Formats: sequence, structure tokens, C-alpha cells
Amino acid sequence: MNAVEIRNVTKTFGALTAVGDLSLNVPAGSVYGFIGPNGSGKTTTLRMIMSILLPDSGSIRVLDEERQEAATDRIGYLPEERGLYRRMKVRDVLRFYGKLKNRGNVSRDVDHWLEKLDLTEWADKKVETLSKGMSQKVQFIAAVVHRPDLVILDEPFTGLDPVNTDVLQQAVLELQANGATVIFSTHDMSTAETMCDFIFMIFKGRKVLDGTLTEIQDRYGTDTGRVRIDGDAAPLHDIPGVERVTDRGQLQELRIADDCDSQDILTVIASRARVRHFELARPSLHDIFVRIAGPEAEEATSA
Amino acid sequence: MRKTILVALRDYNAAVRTKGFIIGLLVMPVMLGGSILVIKLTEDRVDTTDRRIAIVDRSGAVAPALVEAAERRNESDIYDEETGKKVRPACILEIVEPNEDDIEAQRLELSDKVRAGELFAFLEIGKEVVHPGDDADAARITYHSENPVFDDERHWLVHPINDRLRSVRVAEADLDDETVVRLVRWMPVEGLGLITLDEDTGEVKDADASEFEAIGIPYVMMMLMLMLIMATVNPLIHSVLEEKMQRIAEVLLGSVRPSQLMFGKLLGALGVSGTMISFYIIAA
Repeated sequence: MNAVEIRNVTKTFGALTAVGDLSLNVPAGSVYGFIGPNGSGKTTTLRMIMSILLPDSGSIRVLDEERQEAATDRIGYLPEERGLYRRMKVRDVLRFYGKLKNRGNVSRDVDHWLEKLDLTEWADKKVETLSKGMSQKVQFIAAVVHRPDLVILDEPFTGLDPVNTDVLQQAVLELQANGATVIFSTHDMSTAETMCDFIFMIFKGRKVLDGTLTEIQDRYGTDTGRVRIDGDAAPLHDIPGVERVTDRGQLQELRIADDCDSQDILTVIASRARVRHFELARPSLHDIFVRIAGPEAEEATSA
Repeated sequence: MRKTILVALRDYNAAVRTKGFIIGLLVMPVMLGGSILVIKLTEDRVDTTDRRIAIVDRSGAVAPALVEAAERRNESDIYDEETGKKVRPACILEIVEPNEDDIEAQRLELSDKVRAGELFAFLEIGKEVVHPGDDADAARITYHSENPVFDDERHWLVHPINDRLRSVRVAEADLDDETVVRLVRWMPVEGLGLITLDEDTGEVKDADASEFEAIGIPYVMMMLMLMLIMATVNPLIHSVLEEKMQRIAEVLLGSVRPSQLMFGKLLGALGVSGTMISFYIIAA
């Protein structure tokens, strides 16, 4: 069963096609990662799933409901731009958002999540006194306090320190373990690789990747060589059959042309420098992303 | 409906449970009372300096009558009937010979005198005002001053000018003013209620027109509506702006329909204004 079914959806803003003829199935109980450069259509797609925006054409079925409004109370949503009433107390704002989802008494859930995310002592403080990271955690609680079947998180980990990122990632995985479907967008490829059952990439409004990480990587084959040599990376340049050299600090990543034998490349490198490490691997999600979206996207994901 | 009420309650609580609301609740009557007091204290502080107005009468038929009317007004209408104190400025009219050779130069000269404070205003009466013809300019009556829109003198002059024009026209028709006034007397239609029967006495009661019902109730209702709008619109705009600026609206729209959100906000704002009005009614 699919939690979300998107069928040939198109959304335009004036002359700009934000999402073009998109079809996508999100299986129930999965963690689905939306990746793509800025302005590629991720947020527009998430907003259409939430019925905040309506598609120009096509259809979206959410939690087995043709009319998404019918499923609204079973969905939790964390928007890209956080929205909390600054003058309300943390506990009050969470209760308000929980009640809006037709959950009668959410007090116990509110307390549970506040404790879980280490916010109990802030429960009776006003939102305006919270730091950015704490506000983000409160916003996350607001999205999940009503125990939704589908959780949509638009860039949930942006701006968080590593400790809080880990806390929220664990919380997301627990939601999945409890049966919820989680869709989240991210610019962090390693997060998508480690957390997502399925990854969907949208670029210029079009779907360019969709599947498990393994399926996606299989499409590109074992075309990546990871090398560590003594000295700098200069000996790795201008090797026949190497299309690109990416400096990863301790490792150098080589993209090997399809018709080239990796043994020949290793021989050339060994003739130029002392090789400490050489392995053949499938390309990382980051590499695949950059191959599709180009150097601008690389800057965006590295930032 | 439940979600609408939740939105309304949140907005209501957010507005009412603030120091600003309580301070506003107490300050508004103080400000209203203060402004009424200021008006009361300053109502007799009218500039009663005599106002000299030049009249250029190209028709030759109006100016003398205006001077007489102004003299009559200056003798009685500008004084308080009870105290005899001067409460309005006297209107002193000066007839100026029209300069037919250079009309523009004369207008400029008179305007300069107004600017210099020698005159308060000047009035120009067209040549054909008694019998307006095809030449619209010749039938114009113009009043020139620094603030022509707000001058009481301009509004007063309208009556003696038209009285005089009517008299001239009536005299030419070989009638007298009194007859004409009688002929064109305007009859109003009075608005009354229904005739009722007193069940105790059997007496048929005449319909009456209560001033309060006719004017007072609509006036009070209008003031209440004004207060309602003033008290509703400000918090509503503030709330909508806050939700828009801080991206709260997007979170809310993940839970409620736009119509529920707006209706809830409207209900909340109405609750705020209702609270204000109830407070004042109870306090009164």
C-alpha cells in the first residue's frame, strides 16, 4: 500500500514550471528522501501533498484518500520556514497545534516529546525565548504530537548542531518504527543515504532519480575509484580514462570512463606515486547528485 | 467548526490576555472623554476678528443688497443671545468698482491684498447672474480666499445672494416676494408611527415621532458599529500579518482549510470587540 500516490502532477507559477508531469509512489511505512538543488520543486511537491498548493493537472492520493483534506488530521507537517507563535508558551502552542489535528487531549504526548527532545524545562517559557535549534525541535514536536500516519518534513535538519541532528534523526526513525511514513527533503546527501529507504531526486521540476540507494547506484555501475597516495594529488591528474578527480581531503575520488580498465589506471598511478589505498566503488549519492545537477548544486550541498 | 472555534479562541486569548488590551480598554474612554472636554473648553474660542470682504459686482444688481444683509447680520447674528458676547466675526463688505479693461489685473491685485491680510476674501459676481445666458463665465459667482472650502462667510453669502437674485427676478415678473414665497412653499412629509388603541381606556392614540427612535437609535447603532469595526480590524490585521510574516499560516494550513482559518480569525476578532463593548456597557 502506498501512503502517497502522485499521478502526472504539474504545477506552474506563471511561466515557470515548478513541477512537471511528476508521478511518484511513497510506500507506507517507509522513509522517503526528497533531494534536489534549491528551486528544483521539492517544497512545491511537499506543499501539494499537504494541499497547501493545488496542482494544475494530475492527481494526488494521500493515505488512501482522494481528497487530501480528508487525510489532513493524519498528516504531520514541518514547513521549510518555521512558524510558531512567538508570544505563546511552548506547551500551549504544542497543545494548540495538536488540538487542531482533532486530537482531544495531547497533553501527555506533548510532555512525552518535550522530555524526549530535552525541552521540558522550556515548556512554560515563551517561544520567543528559545534558540533557533530549540525552536526547530518545538516545530518538529508540533508536526508529530498528534501521532500522524504520514509525516512530511521540509529540511528538518537544516541549521541544527550535530547533537540535535542526531536526536531528530533518531526521532524520525522511531516514528517509522511505530508505523508512520516519513517524507523529508534534505540537502545533506549523507543523511539521505543513511536514513532513507527510498530516494527521490527532482531537478528543474522533473523527476531524475527514484528508488532505493542501491538501485540508484547500480544504474551508475562501479565507476568510481578511491585512491590515497603519498604526497599531493598532482600525480592523479591527466590520467587517460579518468574523467574527473575530486579531492576529498584524505582520499581522492576518480571517475573512471566506461570503456577504461581500472587496472590500467592503477598501473599509471603506481608509476607516478606510492599508492596507499585503491578501491573501486559505486558513486556516492553526493557524486550522483552533482553529476545530474552540476557544479552549482555541488556548492549548494557542500555549503 | 471545531477547528474554526479553536482558531478563534487562540486569537481571542492572544489579544485579550495582553497588557495592551487592558491598557487600551482603560485608555479609550479617557481619550474619548478628554477629546470631548477639549472640544467643550475650546468651543467658545472662535476667531472673532472682523472679516473684510471686497465685492466686485459686474451685474450691479447684487452688491448693495449684500452690504445691507451683512449689516443686519453684524447687528444681531454674531452675538450670543443670552450673554450678548460676540461669538462670530463681523462680515464687512466693501464694494469695489469692476475694472472691465483688465479683469485679470484686478483679480491679482485683490488676491495680493488677501495674501497681505488687508482683505479676508473677495467676491466676484458675473455680469449675467440675474439672467444667465449662453456665456457661462458671465453668470459665475466666485469667492476667493486662502481657505475657500472651509470659510463660513462663503456659506453665509449664498443665502443673501440668492435672495437678492430672486427678488430682482420676481420684481421683473411684476410679482412681490411674499406671493412668490407662498407659491413655492415646500411641504415636507412627516414620518410617523402607526395609530394605536389603548386597551384599557379604549382611546385611539395618535401616532408620534420619537426623536430618539428617529435619530438617537441609528446614531447610537452607528457609533457602536464604528467601535466594533475599530476594535475588530486592528487585532485582525495584526494577527494576519504575524501569521504571514512568521510563516505560521503555512503550518496552520496543514491542519485547517483557508476558509476555517479566516472565519476563525474573524470570530476571534469579533469576540475581542464584543468584550470591549460589553465592558463599557457594564461599566456604564
